Amino acid sequence: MSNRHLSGAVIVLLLISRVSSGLELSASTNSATAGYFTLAWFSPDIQVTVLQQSTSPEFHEYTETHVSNVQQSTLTGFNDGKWYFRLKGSQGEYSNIVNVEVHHHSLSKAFLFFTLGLLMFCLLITILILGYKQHRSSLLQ
Amino acid sequence: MNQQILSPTLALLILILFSMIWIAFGLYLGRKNKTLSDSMLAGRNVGLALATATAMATWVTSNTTLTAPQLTYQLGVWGMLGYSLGAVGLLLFAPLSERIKSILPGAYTSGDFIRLRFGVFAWRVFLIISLSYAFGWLVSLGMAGGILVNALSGLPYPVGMTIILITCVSYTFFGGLKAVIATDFIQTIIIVLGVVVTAVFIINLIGIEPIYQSLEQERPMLLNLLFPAAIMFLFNNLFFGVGEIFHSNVWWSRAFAFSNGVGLKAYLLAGLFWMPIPVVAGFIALTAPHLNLVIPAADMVGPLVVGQVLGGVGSVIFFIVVFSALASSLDSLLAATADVITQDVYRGHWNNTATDEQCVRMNKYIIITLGVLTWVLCLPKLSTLGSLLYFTGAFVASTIWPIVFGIYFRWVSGVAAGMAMLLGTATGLIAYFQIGFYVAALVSSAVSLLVLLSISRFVPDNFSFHALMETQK
Repeated sequence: MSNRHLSGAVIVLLLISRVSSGLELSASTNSATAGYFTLAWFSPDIQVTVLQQSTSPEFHEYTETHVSNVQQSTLTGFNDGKWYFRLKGSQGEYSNIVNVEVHHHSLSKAFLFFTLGLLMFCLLITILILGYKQHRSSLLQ
Repeated sequence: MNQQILSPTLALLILILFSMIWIAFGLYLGRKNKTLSDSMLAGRNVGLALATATAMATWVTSNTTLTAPQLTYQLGVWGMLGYSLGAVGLLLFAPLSERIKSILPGAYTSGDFIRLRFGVFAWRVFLIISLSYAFGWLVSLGMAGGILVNALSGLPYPVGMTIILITCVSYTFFGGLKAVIATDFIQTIIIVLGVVVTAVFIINLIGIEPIYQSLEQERPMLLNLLFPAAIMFLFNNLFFGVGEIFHSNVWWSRAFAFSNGVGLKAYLLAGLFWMPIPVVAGFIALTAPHLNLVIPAADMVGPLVVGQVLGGVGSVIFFIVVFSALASSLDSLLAATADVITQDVYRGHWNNTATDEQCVRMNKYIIITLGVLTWVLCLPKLSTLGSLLYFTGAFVASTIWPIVFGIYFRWVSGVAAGMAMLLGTATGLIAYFQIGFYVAALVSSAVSLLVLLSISRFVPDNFSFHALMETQK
């Protein structure tokens, strides 16, 4: 095997070892309809330092949150879209990449439930007013 | 990065100190309880100030101080405002409480009304719903105690949960409803002052603008007024709250306990005073992104933010506030649930010749048993507070229409009421799992209404309220 091939093989092995580092990241769901989900991780031998978040699986641009001393994080308020997460250890190791797709309920569905609630609320108020008036007049009799 | 703010020793000391004070108070107040009415209904003559305070304090639960921030963290601005719609239940119960006192002067529980008004079938369906809700709420309260203590101090979850349960069971056991109502009065003052001081402090320390910018950049949906799940949540929470209050013996027992003419004013005032509390508590959660806090579970956001921003002193204040909120609700729920089991299960099904003295004794055993069962169910910590609470929404929202129509109108039959509750609950649970917690109560209520009106259309009743009142004399 030539030196070039050997160097390439070593690099691949190093990359594999960095990804398969024992850092396991998982998500409570892969499809969130309300914009929130929980990420959890297990790393008995590795100190986790940051959680990285990106909109691309290559993590060209990402934000970081320091997550020492915890085993999970609940994230909320996400817009529609695909979000990618991975952990980074103190020695530069990375976990597996987790993908969560946020797809909110449609506004038409939301307003359907809202309208149903509003109609029932109006009916409830009406019944209570009628009932109260009836009760008061029965007391006077 | 998160860190514990209170030392475990200090947290334990505060817990034990408050527990001793509350138990001593319960012993003092319970010394004159002689009859079943004394024990279960505080003698049926509670005045306006205490009535308002107990109604408000009981409704300010750990859910108000912990779940309101959770829902704000998950559903944003509408989560916060939607939670405050829980006050509507108190407001709408005001006229009902007057009617309840009027037509059932000798009754003890909401189960008594369902039994006398609708008969055995509807009564048994109602009891299953009511007890399911009671256990769900009891477990959520017990869990909240453990979560609070753990989040602020690192004390293991079972420790905080156990101490709070032992305390509440003890003073409810010794003092009955009198102890519950009297401690509510003090807890109301602590809760209102504590929540307001906390929120004002946080706003002054951080400022509205930085909070808003962080949300806009990192959590934009939390500010979005067209957040679909949050819009669905609004009336769901309203009907959940209405269902909780309309059916639960926690509120019926107070309606029976208040002096004549007090119930209407007390519930109206309590509802108005309660409404801003979840908004203030929920606002706290919106600072989490700005603080770069890691929130392991959404129901921990409130204590974690307070601990981070206010440090040790503020955490002590928040700790006392939430402990008070917990205790003021846990005791009420223990007392009311024990009353239902005593009156409707023990006396209604098991021993219908039981004397009042036997019921007083049984009531005490049941309080202890409920405490133990709750502890067992709390230990595994199976869910978050919000998810557990809104699971019960499918149950309680189905009772709204049978109670509202049944209390005023004669044409609702027992079959209609029973089937409405059954089918409402079933479809509410389906909606909970298929769509989300934020629609379960609404669906349950809608189906219940449809079933009630449909059956009553073809099989109307002709109930006599006059005869009902005569049997109470």
